[in-house]
Parts: sequence; C-alpha cells; structure tokens
Amino acid sequence: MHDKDAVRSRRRMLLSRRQALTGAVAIVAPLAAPAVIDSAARAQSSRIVLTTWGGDYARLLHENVEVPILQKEGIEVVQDLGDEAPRVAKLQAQRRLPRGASDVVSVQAVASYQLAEMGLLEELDATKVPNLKHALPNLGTATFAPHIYSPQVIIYNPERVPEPPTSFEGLMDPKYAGKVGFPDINYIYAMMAASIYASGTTSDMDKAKDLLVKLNANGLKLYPTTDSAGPPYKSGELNVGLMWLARVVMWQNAGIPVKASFPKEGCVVYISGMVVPKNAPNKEGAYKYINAMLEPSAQQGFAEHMGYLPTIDNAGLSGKVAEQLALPDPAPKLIPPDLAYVSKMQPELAEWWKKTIQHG
Amino acid sequence: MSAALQLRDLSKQYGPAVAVDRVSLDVAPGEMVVLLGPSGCGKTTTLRMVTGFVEPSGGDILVDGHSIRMLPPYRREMGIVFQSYALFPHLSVARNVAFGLEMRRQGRAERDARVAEMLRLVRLEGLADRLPRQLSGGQQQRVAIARALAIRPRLLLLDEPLSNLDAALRQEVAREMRILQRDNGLTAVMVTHDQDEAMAMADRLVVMRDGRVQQIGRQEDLYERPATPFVARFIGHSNLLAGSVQDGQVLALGGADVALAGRYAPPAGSSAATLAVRPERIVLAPPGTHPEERVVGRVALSSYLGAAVEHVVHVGTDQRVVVNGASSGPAATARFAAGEAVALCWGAESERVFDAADRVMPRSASNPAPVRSGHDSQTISKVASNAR
Amino acid sequence: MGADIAAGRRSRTAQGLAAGAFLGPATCVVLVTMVAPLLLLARYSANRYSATDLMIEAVTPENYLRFFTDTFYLGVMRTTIGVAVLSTLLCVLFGLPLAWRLARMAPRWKGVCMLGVILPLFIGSTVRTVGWMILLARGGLMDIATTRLFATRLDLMFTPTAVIVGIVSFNLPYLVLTMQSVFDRVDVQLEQAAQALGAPPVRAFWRVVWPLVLPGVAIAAVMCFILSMNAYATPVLLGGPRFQMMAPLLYWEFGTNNNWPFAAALAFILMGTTLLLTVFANMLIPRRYRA
Repeated sequence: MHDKDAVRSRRRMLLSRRQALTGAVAIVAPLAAPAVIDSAARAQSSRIVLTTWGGDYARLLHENVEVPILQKEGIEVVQDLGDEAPRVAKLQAQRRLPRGASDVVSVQAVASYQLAEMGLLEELDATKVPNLKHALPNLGTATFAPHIYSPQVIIYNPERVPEPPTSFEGLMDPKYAGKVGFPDINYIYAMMAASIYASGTTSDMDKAKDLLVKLNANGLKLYPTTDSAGPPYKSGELNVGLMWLARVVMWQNAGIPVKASFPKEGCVVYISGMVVPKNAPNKEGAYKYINAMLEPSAQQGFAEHMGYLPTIDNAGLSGKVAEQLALPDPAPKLIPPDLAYVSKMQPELAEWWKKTIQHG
Repeated sequence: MSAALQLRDLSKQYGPAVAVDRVSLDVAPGEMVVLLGPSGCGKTTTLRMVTGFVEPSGGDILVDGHSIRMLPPYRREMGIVFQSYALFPHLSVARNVAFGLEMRRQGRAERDARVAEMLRLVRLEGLADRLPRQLSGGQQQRVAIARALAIRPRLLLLDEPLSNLDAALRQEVAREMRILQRDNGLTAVMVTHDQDEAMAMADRLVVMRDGRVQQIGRQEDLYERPATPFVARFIGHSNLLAGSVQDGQVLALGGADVALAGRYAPPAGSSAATLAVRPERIVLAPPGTHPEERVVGRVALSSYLGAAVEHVVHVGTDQRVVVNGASSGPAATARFAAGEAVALCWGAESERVFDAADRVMPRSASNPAPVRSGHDSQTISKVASNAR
Repeated sequence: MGADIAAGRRSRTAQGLAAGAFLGPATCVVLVTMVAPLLLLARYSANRYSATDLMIEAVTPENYLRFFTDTFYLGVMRTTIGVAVLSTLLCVLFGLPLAWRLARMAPRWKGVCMLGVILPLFIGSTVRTVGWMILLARGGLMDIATTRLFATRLDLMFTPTAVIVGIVSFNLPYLVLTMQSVFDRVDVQLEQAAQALGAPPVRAFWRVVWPLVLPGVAIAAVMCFILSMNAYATPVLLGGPRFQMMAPLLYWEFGTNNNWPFAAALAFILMGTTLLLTVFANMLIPRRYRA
C-alpha cells in the first residue's frame, strides 16, 4: 500500500518532469532545432556538430582543426555558435533526451566541472584520443580535454607605470586609485587571484572578499565585456588591472601599449577545452575532433593568432610566438582553479559580487 | 462707398508656379461674393490668404480699410466654415459653438446666452449636448455656421460649404444659408466649383481660371455678357464654335459658314474668332424656313429630357452644337430625328464673338435689320407642326 | 423557407470555418511562441534551484519572496522604473514636436525625413550602442570635444546619463513613427478652425489637437516604457556592470548563475510591474479621451 503510493507519486513526478523538460527544449528549440531533427541520421555518418564560441575562436578552429585535419578524413563539421551560458543551459535542457544536439562542446574548465557533477558528460576514452597523453597535467579532468590556457597576469601601461606591481597587493596602491580595473565577467578569477595572494590557494574566499572590498574602495573599474577593457589602457582611463596573458598579447598586436607582469604569489589560469555530452549522437566523431585539436599544428595556430598557451607538451612553438608567450625566468607559479570549490561557491559568490562589489 | 473687404493685386507664388495672379476685388458690406472656378483656379488659395493660413506673395488685404496682411489668423476675426466643417470631435455642440467665446475670455453667462442664441439661429436648440459625430451632415454644417458666427466675425468665409452634403440637401441648405446671411447683414465670401450653387447664393460672382480673375459681376452680367469664352462656357454651358471672321459677317468653320447676326470688326492681323451661343437660345427649323437662320447642320442626337428637349447637331466637318428647348407649352421646340438636316437660328442678342486673345469682339456701326419678334414664335410653331 | 434558413446557417458556418482557417495559423503561432513559454516560465518560477539538478520540482513562493524581501533587488527594480519613466518622459518630450512637424510636413520632404527617422532602426541595437560607446567613452568624440572646448573631461560612460541617452535614442524612432501616424489622422482644418476662432497656435494645439491625440500618444509612451523596462544591451554596455537594471539581472541569473527558477520569477515580476504601471498610467488619462 505504502509502496504503491510511492510508485504512483514517483510516476507523477516523472511525468511532470518530462513535461517540464519538453518545455525547456521548446525554449532552446530555435537554437537547437536543426541539429535535433537530423541527429538520428547523423549518428552513423561522418558529420560532427560542434557547439562553441563564435568569432575568432570558431574561425581558428575551422582553419587549424577542421580544414587541415578533419576534412582530409572526410569528416564534416557543423559549428553551432553562441555564448557559454546558453550553451550550458542547452546541455542541461537536453539532458534527458536520448540524442542531444551536440557531439562536442567547448566550455571553460569550471563549467565542465559543473556539467560533470550533473552527470551530463561522457568520460573521455584515452584509447580513442591518442593525443591526450601529451596533454599537460592538472589542466584537464576525466571528462574535460584542455584546448588552450592562459595565466591571469597583472596588465599595465608601461608608459604611465614604469614600475609595475608584482603582486595583487600592488593593485590596491592609492597611486592607482580609479585607474585599476578588469572585465566584470572575470570576477571569479579576480577573487581567485586575491585568494592566491592571501593564502596561496584558489579557495580562500573569505580573505579574497576582504581584499576585493579594499580594491573596490580604490576606485575599481568594471567593464561589461573583455573587449571593452582594452582601449582604456590607451585612452588613459586605466593604468593597471588583471587580464589573461593571451589578451595582453592580442592587445599588443592591436597597438595598445600594455605589458604583462606575473604576480609573484602565482597566477590562476584560465582553461578552456572540450567535453562530450553523454547523449552525443556521434561520439566517435567527437573523439576524433578532440584528438585533432590536440595536434601540434593546430595548437601552434591558436598560440600564434590568439596568444593562448598550448595545452600539450609537444607543441614546439618557435619564432615571434615563442618569444611573446615565453614565461619569465624563474617560471611563475601557474595554479589551476579548485574546480570543485569554485563550482560549489559560485552562486553565493555571484550574489556577493553583485551586492557588495558591483553595487558598492 | 467703403468696402468691407478689399483685395488689391493679391498674388501667391509657389516657386515658379503662380497660384493666384494679381486678384483685386471689393466686397461691399452685407454682400455675398462667390469665387467660382474649376479646381486649381486659385479660388481656394485666395480665400486662404484672406483667412491668413496662406501668406500672400504680393498685394494686400484690407478689412474696413485696414490692412490685415500682417495679422495672424487668430487675430483676424473671421468666421470660417470649412469644407469638412472641422467641428471639434471631442466637444459637444454647445462647446464647439462656445469655443471662440472662450478664447475671448467672455463671461460664462454672456457666453451661454450667445451659444443659445446661435443654436436658435441655426435651429439646433435641442442638440446642444450632442457630440458632432451624433449629428447628420446638414446639422453638422449648421453647427459650423453657428460656431463661425458666434464670435461676431467681421467676415464670414465659406470654403465649399455644401460639397459634403448630398444633392437633395444641398439646395435646401444653400437657401437657408443665403437667407441667414441676408437677414443678418453678413458680409460673406464663399468658394465653390459648383456653378449652380454659385448662381443661387451670390450677390456677385468672381469667375477665376489659372489664378486670374476672368470676370466679376452679377449673375445676369456673366450669363448675358460673358467677358471670355471660358466664362461663356463655365456659366451656362455655351456652345463655342471656333473659326475665322470674314467680311465681319460670316464665321467660317471648317466645312460650313455661319451667317452672324451682328457685324464685327476683328482686330488687325487676326481674323480667328470664337462664337459663343447658349443651347437654349438656339431655335431649330427646317432649312430655309426661318428668318434668323445662321447655319445648317445635321442632327446627331435628339433626346427628350422631361422639361427640355436636347438636340446635338453636327456643324461643318468637326464641330458640335447642343440645342435645348422646352418640351411643351407655347414655346415648345420642334423635334428633329437623327440624320435630318436642320437650320440653327438665333438673334443678335444671343450671340457673342471673341477674338484670338479671348476678348469680346466689338460690333461695327451698321446693325443688321431688327428682328421681327412676336412673328417668330408663330412661325416656329408652324414650322414645328409641319415638321411633325 | 426552412431550407433557406438552413442554407443561410450553413453558409454562415462555412464562413466561420473559413475565417477560422485564416485565423488558425496566427492563433497557433501566438499560442506556441507566446503563451506556452509564459506558462512554462510561470511553472519554473515556483520551482526550487539546485546546483546539480538545475531545478527541483516544487510549488514554492520562495523565489518571489527572495525578491520582495531583499532591498538589493527592490533597489534594482526602483532603478529600472526610474530609468524607464525618465526615458519615456524624455522620449515624449523630444518625440512630440518631431512627430508633429513630420505629420504636418509637405509630402516630398516628409518622405526624406521619415527615412531619416526609420534609418536608425536598420542598425541593430548593439551596434548602435557600440556607436554610443565610441561617442561617450574616455578619448571618444564627446570627451575630445569637451576637453578642447571647456578643458573639462566629460566621463559619461558607465553613468545613468549614458543609459538614459542610449535608451532614448533607441526608443525615439518607434515613438516618433507611432505618434506621427496619430498626428497624421488629425485634420489640419481642426487646428485652423481653432485659430480662426481666436486661439493662438499653442493654445489651439492644447485645446483641440492634444485631446484628440492623447490616446495615441499614451500608446506610444506605453510602448516606449515597456521597451525601457526591458532594456538589456544599453544598460549592460553603456551603464556598465555597476549600473543594475532588471533585464541584465534576469539574464545574469539565467545565464551565469543557472538559477532558472529565480530568473523565471524575476521575469514575472518585471512583466507584472510593467503591466501594473501601464494600467496605472492609463487610469491617469481622463476617461473621455481614452481610446
């Protein structure tokens, strides 16, 4: 009797969940519809759907991974472009569908961890991705293949700042009041930088909060996008800030007078890579894609054009690229984020950031 | 005599186009003058210059001897009845009529009394609280008049006031407006393109064409003595026959000669002329039977129109003459069938000849023999019975 | 006779069916694209957030309570309403004379000017906002101009002023187009009649034209207000991260935080507030002027 009730209520629950899910799919349908419709046919074919960022990143994937490597094997790649947030949302919405829309998905390390926690990701089969053995340790996980990474450095304008800060503490110097800033979307990495300064790990958020309140009091400037945080170094609005080394290189190439200074306490690194959803229709193809993206030739292309560091030990950079991306001697400490901690803390940190720093 | 309204060489140009060309006119107090002409003749532009909504390019406008050219419309004290009536749709009939008085900041009691008086004048006492859209077209028109008159305007200006009424109502309203204007001694200028309306309403008419005044005069002046072929045709639909005057007595049309009733002196150098004869002034007779026979033509169409009978007669190679006559009674016209040859006959007072510059061609000294009137009609009726 | 009636009824039914056939697709589209997501959103807003499960099926008011009991969120709503009201007022203030001139313009100039008004609509809101960024940012045109002319820096970027300027510039074309067509329907002779009766132009406008266009202007203003309440790109790009309005907050909750239930609640609160204020504003219009 008791059991029957439980079964019935569970069934009801299931039903309503499915309804909710169908609805969720309807919301993202405009984005996913074309892929969903032909995913059944695709399973057996040599077509891969890649869901990723648009712009330079998608273009470089096409030029360095898809055209020279995959097309030769007769594999056709369809790129489904957009921001990370809707991409993650889409994976979540489709999670109970037997066949998802994407075969391989670009995400940051933090997001990959969250997706893995929800059980949405396939564990990568190293036998099918031979290049994984060259991947740098500590950047990837069982479900996440790192593609590019870049340390967060102190960016400064060498014309106005002859002696750059050498640690997070330097940013709070009153001489930079109102001239220090970074993109708002990087808040969690800024907090990790503060945490590393305070206790050497990325997970001491209590101290990080205090430090950011102090930094905020020093006239911290926040920018809505990463792109909009570059020109202020030229116009004189900013003198110092936090930024990816890759961006520093890109901005240098774009004629913005900036240089990087590696904080002596260490740098948190930004890692972006690829994951395979559990319901990917063409997993074999997804593995081929990940293997191709880890090829040295493909990695060189990204280093050259976007200034990201290769995630493999056999990339073999040379010439100007090697020079621009060369890490100083002695080598700075590069610290990958504590993904479990950050994932757990993110909602709370987001709320705190919104109310205390943005609003403060 | 002091004119209530004087226009002096009033002109309006839009770029190179001349809309109104040196119009001069005196309107006497209590007079109703109607500007008449086809669309685009400049009559409406002229009226708008008087109202102040169009700025003249040249000339002057005087009211009671003072120029109002520089006054904005809202200080001109004109009562205007618009073609669309332009009643304020969100205000009741009474508020519409009171609008001008409110603008003059009149006291409430005085205002109400005036509104009541105006509504009585146009016989709309019971409808004070209605909204304009709840009224018929004729009632709306009366509200427009009441509203215009409430401010005791120096002039009443009527812009095609009857054109939005159906034909049956138009005559009745026209008559009422005329009586109202007469009884109250209002000085009024009206614009219309409708000849009958103009004839019925006006003390004097101003016929305009292409921005110019063709003729100013009373109905009889325009009808009996049109100054140009245009006036002759526009007022009463004259037949216009183009040809050339020979020997001062014959108008040669292509393929036929008209023996003119008068003798004319064409201007030196040009014998081209236009003959104007009204359809109802032409008598039809079998050829060779009528003393005033002018030309012989062939009947193309003969129609019985009730009170009148209309014949269309081909004259010469390519000209057409319309002839109207009474269908019955002592002056009943003879009827001819299509294809019959017929003589067109008229007296000297019925014909008017214009030269190439559309001026009236003067008659020369020697007049033709006087017409034997009285004898005529008998002849005609005799001829008519013969024809039947 | 009876057969006739039956035939008439049949044909009426047929007509009804035909009309239904025409209305059917549109109704379906509305149902699928508007009503269904709304219902879904309403359902979500009663769910509970979970970091690992996205959301947990529940019927709880906690998402709404969270909003209404937190001064931070109420503050964001206050800012949003403030910006929307102010930018709507400015839009009406600037748009009214513009629309009026346009409606009373000679036809050949009107076409050109209308195109001028519509042209900004061909450019996406984000591109236009980037244009404003270039204009307002440090080292941008406004900054250079004020530095040269008055020797003072004009840092408008990331200020409420920038947001309002951006929203006004974005909404103005819609407002002008709507009001222009409203003014267009007012017979010129009505104004002339008022003037002939002794009302100077401004007085004629307020006494005669204004009451007639008021319902139309109100509709245009409501549209402008709704657009402002829901503005996203402009507050994000011109207001910066420190300037918080509802739409960016909602997107942050949905996208960055993955908190769909709270985002859904925020969406409903924003919609409800907008609706409520619109109804309230409509009540301010005298009854006899209402459309």
